[in-house]
Amino acid sequence: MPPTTITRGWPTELTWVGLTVAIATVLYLVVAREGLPAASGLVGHGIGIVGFLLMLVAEFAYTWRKRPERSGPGPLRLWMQGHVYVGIVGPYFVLLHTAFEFRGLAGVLTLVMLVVVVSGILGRFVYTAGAAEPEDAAVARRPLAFWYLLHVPLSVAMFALAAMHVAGALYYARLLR
Amino acid sequence: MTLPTNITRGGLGAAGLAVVGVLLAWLVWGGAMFSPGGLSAKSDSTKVLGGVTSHAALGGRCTACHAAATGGRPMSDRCLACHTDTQVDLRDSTTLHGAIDNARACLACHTEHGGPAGSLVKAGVGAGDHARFGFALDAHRRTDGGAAFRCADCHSSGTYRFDRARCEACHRDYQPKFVVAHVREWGSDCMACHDGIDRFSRGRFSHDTVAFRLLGAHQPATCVACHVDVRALAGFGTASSECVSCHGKDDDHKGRFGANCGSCHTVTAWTPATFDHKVSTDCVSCHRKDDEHRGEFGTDCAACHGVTAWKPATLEHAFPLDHGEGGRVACKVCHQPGRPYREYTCYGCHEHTVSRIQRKHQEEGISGARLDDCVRCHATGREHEGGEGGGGDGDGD
Repeated sequence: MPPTTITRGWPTELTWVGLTVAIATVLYLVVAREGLPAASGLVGHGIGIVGFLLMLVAEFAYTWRKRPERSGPGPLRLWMQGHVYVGIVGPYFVLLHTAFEFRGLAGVLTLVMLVVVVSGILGRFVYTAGAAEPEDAAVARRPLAFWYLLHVPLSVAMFALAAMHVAGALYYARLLR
Repeated sequence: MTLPTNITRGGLGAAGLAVVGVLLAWLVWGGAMFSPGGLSAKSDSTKVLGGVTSHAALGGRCTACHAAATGGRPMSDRCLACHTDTQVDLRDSTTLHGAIDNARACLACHTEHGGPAGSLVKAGVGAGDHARFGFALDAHRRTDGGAAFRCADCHSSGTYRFDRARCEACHRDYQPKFVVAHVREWGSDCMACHDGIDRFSRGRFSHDTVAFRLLGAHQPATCVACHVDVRALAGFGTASSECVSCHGKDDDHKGRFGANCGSCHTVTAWTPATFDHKVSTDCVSCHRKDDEHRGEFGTDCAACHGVTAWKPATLEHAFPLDHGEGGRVACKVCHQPGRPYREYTCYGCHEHTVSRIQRKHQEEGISGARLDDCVRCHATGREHEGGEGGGGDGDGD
């Protein structure tokens, strides 16, 4: 059975995402006039850490709220919008942190992160379009299968890789210098 | 097993796979997967340090530079263990590394993992921090042609030793006249005075900032006019502010009035000058050439003259100048122009004709030279005041 489609307007959270990404891009370009900020520099590390923290919020805040035994605070749809916002803005910051160099573990991690984000966008705005939340009873089983197959497991794997990336950076760039 | 919604078994499995994958990669490739970028391929083929000619040749051997966490040695020790040439430089203060205070903190200036062609020096090091070597690059941002300065423009060798002759050679190219004169006046050890701040250029240095301000006729003076034989910056501070240190040769007074020129002269010009005659009462020491009296009146000029001007002058004339009935007589009535003032004649006056005087004095037996020396007997010009051999109360002429 095809997913139920409920006509919605332009998602508000994407407007906020667009604004934030635009502002961050302008600021980044200003800083990048002297050359792309290295991932290991003050700016590079700064946006990497902020992006990572936003991703943690995206992961755990929505996860905590959507558990079946919770009914609040606030409507789950709002939490979902927040999840979308920080789930895109956070990875964008991390993308800027890479200075567009993708190699080794950090390169793999970036790739996984992009897959998580893209799968999330597809899951939210294509497969489960119109639903208040992906687990909405009105939504068909098939999108949910996709959801659990790609987006959710990969996000957990991504955090595992991120933890090793951070540990590696601390180990080599701080402890062993 | 109850799990948070997202931490599904699938999620845990994926995370587990990721960890296992990383561990396997670590076993196969070592820590290379954590490398933030490739190593520099910069190479000096004549040097083999630590068994390689470039960092890139180290491959994935992270431990070549990253000491084990338990090793207790900082990375800089590993740098110097291979870079024996830098170890030598550290003991030589004329080298780049020898001139740096904390030269063993390699990571303060150097970086890596910028790729094969990446710089091994952090951005901004050298240009912004060059003052630590005793020469800031404030005045060396752009060449005379407008291009950005490169290290090699001044440092010709790979060791970054600085050949001081390069200053002169480079500046001579575009300001030859100035450099020739400048080297002649100040010597060729540029860095003895210059530290790269360019504070002495025309219009940038104000002499008002030091105790001796350049006023009046001192304004157009060249530096070397006062700062003679200066060969180092400290030498500028030793120039004397005493006038005679520069103007001794200009002293028309030959030192008679001492060294305090400012008591009479100003910095605008030597003349006009104000002179305090209290400095000396020996008038002829200065005014002998001005003495129209040719020394006949002695050296006590002040007896007649004031300090303001030669004229008017007061004269205490022993012989009454208002002698006779015509009031004060002019000098030339008695003293002939061009003759010594001690000579006088009484025949300049119509009262005193030679024949009459001779006749009157024959009676007294006075004649000849004695007759011509009238004031000998007539000290105040009175007719019968008498004198040598003369009557005191005569009624004659």
